[in-house]
Amino acid sequence: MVSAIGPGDRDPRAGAGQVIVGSQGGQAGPEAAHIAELYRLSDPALSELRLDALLDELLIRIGQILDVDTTAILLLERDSGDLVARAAKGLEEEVHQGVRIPFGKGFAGRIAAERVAIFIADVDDAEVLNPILREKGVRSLLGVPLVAQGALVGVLHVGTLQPRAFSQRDAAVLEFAGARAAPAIERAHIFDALEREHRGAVALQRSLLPGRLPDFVDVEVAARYLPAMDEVGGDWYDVISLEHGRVGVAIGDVMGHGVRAAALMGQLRAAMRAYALEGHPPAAVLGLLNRLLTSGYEPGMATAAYGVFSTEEGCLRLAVAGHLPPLVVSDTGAWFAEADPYPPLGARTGTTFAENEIPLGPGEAVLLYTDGLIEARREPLDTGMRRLQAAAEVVGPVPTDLCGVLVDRLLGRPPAPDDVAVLAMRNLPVPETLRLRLPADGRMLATLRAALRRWLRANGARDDETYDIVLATGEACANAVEHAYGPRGGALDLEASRAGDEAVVVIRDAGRWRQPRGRHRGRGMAIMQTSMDSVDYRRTDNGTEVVLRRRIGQAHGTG
Amino acid sequence: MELADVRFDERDGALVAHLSGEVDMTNTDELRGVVVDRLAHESAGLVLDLAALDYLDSSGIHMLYDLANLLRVRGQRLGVVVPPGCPAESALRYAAVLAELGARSTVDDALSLMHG
Repeated sequence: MVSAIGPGDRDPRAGAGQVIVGSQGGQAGPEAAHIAELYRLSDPALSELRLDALLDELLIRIGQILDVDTTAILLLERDSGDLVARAAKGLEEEVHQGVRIPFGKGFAGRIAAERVAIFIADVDDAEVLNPILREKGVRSLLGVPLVAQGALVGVLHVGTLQPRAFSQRDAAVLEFAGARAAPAIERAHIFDALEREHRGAVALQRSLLPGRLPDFVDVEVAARYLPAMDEVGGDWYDVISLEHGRVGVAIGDVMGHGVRAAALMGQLRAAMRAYALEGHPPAAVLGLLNRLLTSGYEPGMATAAYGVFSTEEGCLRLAVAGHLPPLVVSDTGAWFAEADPYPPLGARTGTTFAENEIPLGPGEAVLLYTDGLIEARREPLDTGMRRLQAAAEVVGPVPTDLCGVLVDRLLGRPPAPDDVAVLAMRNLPVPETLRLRLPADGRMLATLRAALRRWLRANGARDDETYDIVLATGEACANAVEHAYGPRGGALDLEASRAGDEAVVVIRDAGRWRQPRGRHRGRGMAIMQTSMDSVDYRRTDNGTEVVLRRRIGQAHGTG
Repeated sequence: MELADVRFDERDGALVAHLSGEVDMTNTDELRGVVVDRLAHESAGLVLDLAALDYLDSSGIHMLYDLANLLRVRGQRLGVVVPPGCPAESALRYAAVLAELGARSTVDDALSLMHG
């Protein structure tokens, strides 16, 4: 059954069972009682809402004003050209199932294509594509196009479970509601798209930064990146595990903001990592990056610092390209390290960088950071640096604290206007008793040797004593690596402690005892026996223990 | 190569390989390969200069024996250079193989042995 509204004749363009309602047909306008209701739809509070909240609120109000059972908004999806159910009351399934209506097809599709209001008196008779409308038992439908600044945004429709001849007044109310809603929808839409883009850019930026940082035995690292309030930036950090247990640390800041800066950051980080892994020293790495940026490969500038730390040297070799000086933090204080600031990367061709040797004793940490950490408006840089130094003296040298509470304290609660990258690395204090648990894998031997050397030196062992103990320990560990476990592998525990003037090293595995065999292993046993004061083996139910003892700190000629 | 580096020079018709860094079970195979690849067929032999090594363990000693056997088959000689007091010298001394490997304290000594 088809009902026409008021004087509006059936439009020849209408499909079976549909009546096109032109607003020109109802000059009477909404009743006075409804005008106040309608203004509720232009409530300024609505424009502050996010798109989904805005649509929900609109539908609730329209439902109340028109006293209908269902309300729905379908938005035009620009990529596909389809109308997609975005919000509904009484027809929630429509949204959950993501109902799509092709442009120009069915009830909503025709409203969109022809930009006219359509009334269907009885759904059964009409060309309605959406099965949910029928399943719900919706009998009558009235829909209007949503148009903002001449562009179609979507379709708004209402329905009743009892047949209802929507009046000219109802159509006018709905059109008025649509006219109020469309620009707000468009605004929220743009805002949502921008926010999605921002979230995407931040996600991209994060994906360009390292995931999990590598583990080191005697060095602890922590890092943190904080995106800016409303734009992505080009700050980065990196921690690179280098040969011989050395640690590469990097910080940088691509000048400019936005996705371009983030993308260039990603490229610089990758290039820096590649040069660093090739074994280039810090000054050479920055020189190569500068050449990359000035070669016309990618225009841009960046400040950066790259350093290599070795626990054996107890010193960070750092090269700096226009970047802020690193802060050294100990248990008792904090100070800025001397670091010659060469020009930023990309500033001029052929820059030759030099390295600064920054001593970093056991227990001391170095903090690398970008300017977002210390810069505040209308304040000289010195003030921010003094604030950082004072805060670090209170917080102390633990890397997770430096990247955690220190940063929080300096930046305060709200997101900063500039993005921030920080990286803290600490030369861990030498423990009284060294305890290591490592996979029984040959590749761990170098790590283990470096940790043991450091502990022995801190305990006053001479170089030759250190070498002997490291050699004997290496042999005991190699034996465990080769023989303790099957192909599935296992763990190796090492404990080094001081007993009077003796160093005692215990190597433990949880594998099955196997008599060292062959001339090769026999030599290893010989080395242990002759280089140590004593070598003891203990076989337990849980595995094997080798105990090495050697006096240390002896004057030459008596040891 | 991880841990160790090799620098080569040619002297008196022999190949001299100066090793630095650390030699353990993880890099002996690669090290042996690098050295053997470099050794020409007509070379009198190979001198391994271990003076600058920071670490050499029994798997490194095993490699020295391996190389000695390989060269003997090819009619070439192996010279091992360990100045007294260097880490590699300690390792060879503890394993009691200094004499068996014919270790010398200078490259010149090892080279003269090659033509002796």
